[in-house]
Amino acid sequence: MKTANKKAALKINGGSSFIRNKGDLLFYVLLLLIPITQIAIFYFGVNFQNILMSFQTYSTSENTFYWDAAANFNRFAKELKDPNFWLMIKDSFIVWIFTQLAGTVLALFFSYYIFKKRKLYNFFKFVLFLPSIIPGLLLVLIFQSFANNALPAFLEHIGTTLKPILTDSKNYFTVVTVFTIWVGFGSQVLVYSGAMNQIPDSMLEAGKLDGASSFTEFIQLVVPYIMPTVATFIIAGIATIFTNQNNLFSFYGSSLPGADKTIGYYLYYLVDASGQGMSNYCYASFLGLISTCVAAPLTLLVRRSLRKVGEK
Amino acid sequence: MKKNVVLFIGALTSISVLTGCGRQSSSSESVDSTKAQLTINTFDGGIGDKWLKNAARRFEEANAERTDFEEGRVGVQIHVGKARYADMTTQDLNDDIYFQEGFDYYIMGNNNKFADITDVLTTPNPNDNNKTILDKIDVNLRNYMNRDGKYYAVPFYDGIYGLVYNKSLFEEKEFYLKNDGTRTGDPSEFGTGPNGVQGDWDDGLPKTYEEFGQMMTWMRNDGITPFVYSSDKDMSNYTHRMLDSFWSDDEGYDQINLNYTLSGTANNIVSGFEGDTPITNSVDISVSNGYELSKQLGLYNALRFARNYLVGNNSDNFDSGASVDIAQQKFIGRKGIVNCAMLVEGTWWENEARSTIESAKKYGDTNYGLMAIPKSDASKVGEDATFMNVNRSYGFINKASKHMKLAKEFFAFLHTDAELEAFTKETNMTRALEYTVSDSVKSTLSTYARDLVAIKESEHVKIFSPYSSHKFEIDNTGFFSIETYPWKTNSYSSNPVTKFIDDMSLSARTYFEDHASYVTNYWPQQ
Repeated sequence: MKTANKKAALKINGGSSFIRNKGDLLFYVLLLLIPITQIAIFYFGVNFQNILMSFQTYSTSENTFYWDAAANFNRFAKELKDPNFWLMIKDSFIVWIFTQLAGTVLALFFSYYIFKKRKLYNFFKFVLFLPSIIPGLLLVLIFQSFANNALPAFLEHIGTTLKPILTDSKNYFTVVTVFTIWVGFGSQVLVYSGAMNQIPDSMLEAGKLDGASSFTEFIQLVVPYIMPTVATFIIAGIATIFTNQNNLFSFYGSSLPGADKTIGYYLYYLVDASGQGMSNYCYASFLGLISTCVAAPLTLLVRRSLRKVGEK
Repeated sequence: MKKNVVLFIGALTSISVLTGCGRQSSSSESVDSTKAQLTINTFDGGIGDKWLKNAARRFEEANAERTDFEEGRVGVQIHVGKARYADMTTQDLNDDIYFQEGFDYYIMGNNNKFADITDVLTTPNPNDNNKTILDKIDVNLRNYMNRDGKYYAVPFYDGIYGLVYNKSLFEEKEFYLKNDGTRTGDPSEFGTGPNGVQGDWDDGLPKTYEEFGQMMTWMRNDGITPFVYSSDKDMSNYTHRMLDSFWSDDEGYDQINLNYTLSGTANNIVSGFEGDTPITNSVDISVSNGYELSKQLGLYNALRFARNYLVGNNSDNFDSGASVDIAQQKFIGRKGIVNCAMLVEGTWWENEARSTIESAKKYGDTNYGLMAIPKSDASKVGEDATFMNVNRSYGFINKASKHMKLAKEFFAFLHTDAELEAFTKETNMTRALEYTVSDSVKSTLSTYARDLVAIKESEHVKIFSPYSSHKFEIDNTGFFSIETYPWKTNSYSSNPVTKFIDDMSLSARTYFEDHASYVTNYWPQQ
């Protein structure tokens, strides 16, 4: 049986000949059934209409979609000439860099702290994970109440004032981005500290015997060991460059205090802003398609680069 | 212990998730199965449901012996519930009749939520002097709601945004103006107000932007904050909707209407500036060049008012409340001490702030009023006022109603002149329909509501409904959305007042030019 399995596995890996063992074939098919069904339903099924809508326009008065490939393209061409569109692209990358890259680095440090069971590690674990168990919109309301009511009242009490941080057009984007990093921290810390717990004690002890400091242990032993987990987070995060609304819609709805926004927010705005109905659905689909065209090769490129880093 | 903590967190999470769901109508009244049943759902907000409950009782009493609504049942029982929907267009609707807000007429229709009520709107009602409901609807709204000759809803309440002012404070501190522009608190000395007519609702109020600015200086010098607004994200649009009326007032009814007909000659299109003075010319407007209307002088003047007078260069001009409740509380005052003269609000504010007003009454009665729109310059004093009625609330019958005959009859009953007047009496508000309010009812209204009725009845005031029946505008609701269109810019979102408050270095002209550039650049293709 073991030999048969090995043969089947070799055939699968080799990919050149048919799997002879029917049991293995059935197992293989069943194994693939779930992800294939998922992709069929949740990607092709859901996006099929979206892809069609990218080449259509919608008439509210007639409640009908019409084929018009040029309409969305022309609107996109107009937006490309608008400095605000490029500001939106820049902001989307800033949010990605801070939430995915800077956030990952910080999460790794905190995870290591918790993994090493340093002072108050359980408290930090609880505090960092807390935002993940409270619904995002509730956290937004709590933060809004803190920023709009509690903080000004406290500052007034101690005899000073502060411009409302959430409505200040110059700072709102930074404030909301910091909030997004904070609320996204918990899940990363949980996964990374879980991955760190899988590191064999013998490997860490060997490091100690070689005189490795905590920092060396973290950089040379811990991070390389959990690199596949980190890489997964980074690769999955690429797609969020164009979908992350950075909690802007949750905080402001369609009334932003300034021009800074992400593509993700813009997509939310197009499909959900009050009173616009389905008039923007087609353009939002077109923009989504363009985003996929940029994000998909970027994801493959980053995946390949990270694999090369791993091989080294 | 750990188990309890886990259970507690789980319960907390569940409650949090559930609170995010939309609320459905609820009525605690038990069902009387001997009577025909009808359920009504109204907006859970400032208007309340008392008016509807009272109307329902009157209808029940008048039809107590009717047997033709439902077989085997005598009389009618009407249940009234309240609800607030995040997005009504996608919800399953279970009640027979709705009076709700914040949805688009066309989108609701496209989603099959509306019953066809053309017969209810067009049939003369013998119980209402043979009037039709359609005759009571503003012409722009009537044309907009006409879908291939059919009608599906009736506008609910007037959505006029503006400055509410404290009449008692104005009298006490002498913030009213004489005709020569000096201050007074004596009603016998009040000037004509911007409409130039002595003895009507706007007497003593500033005639021009200049006088308004002067009045604000008096307020600041007396330690009074001129105005307060809500900075809540859902209510911050009150400030730019208030400006809508400044725009319409400066342009006048016919010129503002060009934005919604896209046909005719625009007389005041800004083609450039000589120093700070705008140069204007006339432009023939059509669908292909409708973006020229984004340069209407009225828009510039409204921005100039917001920038130079309302916000000014002085942060003592305004205060903000994190929610409408807080803004209202700041305006009404605490323990009889009033520090704020005006509030940016909508017509429903008094109903919404009822408990705060009631608790303030123990320190003395206070009268409130609706601030008139001052004219951009003295030469315009005496011209008729034009208020913008930014209404997005409707009453309609659910297409899925199983009690259509009864629903239609009750719906017609609610829109008789007598019931419309009763609505005003009970809510201190006005329906977005044409009807008269008797002197005896007027005497029972608050001073603010009396101002509302006065502007609806005045021959010197026009109420403009910003609705287009033009296919081009309806098909591009995203671009022409009433929420954003009049003030949208490339860089500053769509709220000039809060933008000027945030950035006092920004000029009205820069905002105006950015708005024109945005509209020109993104004008939809035909």
